[in-house]
Amino acid sequence: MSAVVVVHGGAWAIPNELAKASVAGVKAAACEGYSVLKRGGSALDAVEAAVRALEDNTVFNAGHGATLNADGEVELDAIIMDGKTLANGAVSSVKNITNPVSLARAVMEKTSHCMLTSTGANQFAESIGMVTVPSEAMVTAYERTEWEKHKNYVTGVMEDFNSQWAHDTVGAVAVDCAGNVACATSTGGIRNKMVGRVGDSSIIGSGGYADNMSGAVSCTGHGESILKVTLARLILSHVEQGKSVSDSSQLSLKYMGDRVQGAGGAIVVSPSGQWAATFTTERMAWAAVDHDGLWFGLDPNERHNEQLPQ
Amino acid sequence: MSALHLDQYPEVGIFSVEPGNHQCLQEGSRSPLRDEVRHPCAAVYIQEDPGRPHHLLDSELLHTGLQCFAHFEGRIFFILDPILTEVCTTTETCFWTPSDSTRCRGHHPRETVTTLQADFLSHCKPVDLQPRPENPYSGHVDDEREYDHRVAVMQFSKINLPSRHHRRKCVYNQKTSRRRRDLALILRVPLQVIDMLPVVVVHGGAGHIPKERSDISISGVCAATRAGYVVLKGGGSSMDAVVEVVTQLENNPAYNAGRGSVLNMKGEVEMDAFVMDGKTLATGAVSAVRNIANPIQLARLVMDKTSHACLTAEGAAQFARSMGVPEVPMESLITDYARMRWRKNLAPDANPVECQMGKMGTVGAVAVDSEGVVACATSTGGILNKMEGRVGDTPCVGCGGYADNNSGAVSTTGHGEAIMKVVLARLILFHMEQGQSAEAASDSALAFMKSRVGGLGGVVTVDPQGNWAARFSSRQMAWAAAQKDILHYGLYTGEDFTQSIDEPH
Repeated sequence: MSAVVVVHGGAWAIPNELAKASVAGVKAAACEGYSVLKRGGSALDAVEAAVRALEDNTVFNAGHGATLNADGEVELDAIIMDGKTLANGAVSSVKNITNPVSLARAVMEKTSHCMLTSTGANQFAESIGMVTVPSEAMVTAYERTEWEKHKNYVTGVMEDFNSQWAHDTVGAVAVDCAGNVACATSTGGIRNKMVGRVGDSSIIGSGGYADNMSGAVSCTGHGESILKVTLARLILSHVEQGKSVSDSSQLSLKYMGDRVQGAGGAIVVSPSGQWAATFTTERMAWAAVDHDGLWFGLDPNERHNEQLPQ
Repeated sequence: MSALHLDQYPEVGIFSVEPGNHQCLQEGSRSPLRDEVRHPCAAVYIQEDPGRPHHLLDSELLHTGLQCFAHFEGRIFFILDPILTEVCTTTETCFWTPSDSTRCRGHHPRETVTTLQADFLSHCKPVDLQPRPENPYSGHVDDEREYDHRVAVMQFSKINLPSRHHRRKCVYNQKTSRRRRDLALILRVPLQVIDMLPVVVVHGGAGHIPKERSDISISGVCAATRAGYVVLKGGGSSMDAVVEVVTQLENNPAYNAGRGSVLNMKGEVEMDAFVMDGKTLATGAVSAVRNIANPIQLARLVMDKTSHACLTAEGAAQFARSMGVPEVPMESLITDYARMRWRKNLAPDANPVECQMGKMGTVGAVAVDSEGVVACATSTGGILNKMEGRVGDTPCVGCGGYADNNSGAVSTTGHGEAIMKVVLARLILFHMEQGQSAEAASDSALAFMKSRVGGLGGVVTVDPQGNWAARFSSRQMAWAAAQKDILHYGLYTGEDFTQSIDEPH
């Protein structure tokens, strides 16, 4: 059985000035996740490592470089799920944590709960000795200017999303040599969101889902639309019905567009190593590593292949 | 909206069917209408064109609201009646492929259906419809509804539907699928289908309910169900009804939601709530919210007044203030019983599982209104001695509830972490999209949750046609339902007591 890692850096209208850095970021994260698998790590370890790499990269809207809410603060959501046991952990609206995906994993492994929110999540982080950083340290100069520029606009999320303003979520899915799948998703949400807004990323079945019986999915895009159709679970229900991973993603994203007029993207991997990266937004930075090397793309139908860097 | 292009079919016919005389459908030896036709009705057929792919017809039919009810001798038969086209979208029609489910379960406004059918008729040969018969539903039909009773209900014989195993196979084998579909298109049509709506089904939590509390648990859900039914009967939407029901249960200290919520580790109340509208798929949720009396109403405000779907903790409280929702002292939400159980559970020899099962008491409701729109609402105080900030299944879309006019609505209760792992509400509706009944879908999803992740729980489910179920794998679940002016309720597995809706409990 061959191991595969697929990552995305968010589905949105990525401006040209961020394009190069986004593609480089997802490629590096995919290689990072794959190296974990090659060392014998589990799919769960791989998706955590890949998402951590994306969170640490300021180009993406997660961890460092996340967008600011209406109060100018960073509030982060993340989920991680293990397809073998269906165990999952999530945090929503958590502050001062650079790698929310690791906190989500701690929720999964160290509590009897699946999700912690807001200050409760921060207290838990403190109790397990997770390093906290001041909010300011996570905000990039780019984000601060963008936020200042747009905070006076009174616009709905939909308009925000359909414009050039929004960054989006990062995520990863993987299958390891034992055929176990896992997913992880992490985000700073939508710029100028209301304080306490929780999007799709931390909600199981919407932001991600993983089940060894069908596969693993991580979603990105207009969060409220993804929630309405429980996109991740929807994609896997098509896979369960015998469709291919790419057909399933395309069908589900099309359904989301038709039914609730939302655009987005998804990465999927099946336990047998089939994978797909699909989106209905203008662009999505994605990368994958399988036995044929490194794959990546940004624009629709763009798909490059190169050898893994040594 | 594309119409059915009848001119592209080689043969189109319309005929009437007299009671006991269904010759026209018996030209072939394999008549699907073996059973008697009870009332005069009309039907239309078109000849299948071998050169015209099936999926074209499928996509045209999608927009007409017409439902084919039989295929044989190369002809496809339709019933011409708004009631019947609605009837024919019920139950087992759509198991064969997932993509068909949207077609069969779509809800069409009645006017549209009628207009399109008139259009359909104008393409047909002269109609020989029977004079309007006596109302076959006397005593049942709501006269305000302007049904055209020229065509009345037929009862078809039911054939054995393929097993679930076969259904899975059909997806891979189009040929088999087509054949099975032909067979299964013969439906059982309930005679009183038109007054199946409205329906409201309510639960007061799955778990182990102590004997001394079982009476108040039942009377509470019954009272709330009555209130929800009154809203529906008065023309309210299903969303109005479920919010009304859950508000009442939140105000009732017997349940773990609103007043009466369980306490977290610190002895505080943090509540989660969720609503969803099946017509638009709009959702609203709040998680870990404090100091408000009715989280369900706040969840609805999130849905109606913000562009977001979920607000949490302090952010939710800020939003409540901005909406003018009154803040209440936490003390007012805490009952002596909740405090006693919290203390008991802190004791060194406490058995947390035993305490937990004492009262899982999440509350929830699903409803379908007379327009066929479904909605769900769920509200909870979570689990006893939870960590601060713990969010359970309730506010997560697909876990605590889901509503979609194409399939139905579900509200769940039980072991939250297990419900999340299997995304229980959405799972049930996936099964229903595959053609299972509300009851079978609920049972199979609960059984899956038990076998896969070892979790127990309960659900209330409705479909847009008004079929409903209240099922649970836990020892008990207080539930009640109202339909056709009858109140159903129960607590233990297998119980279904009924009484008139007006009778006080």
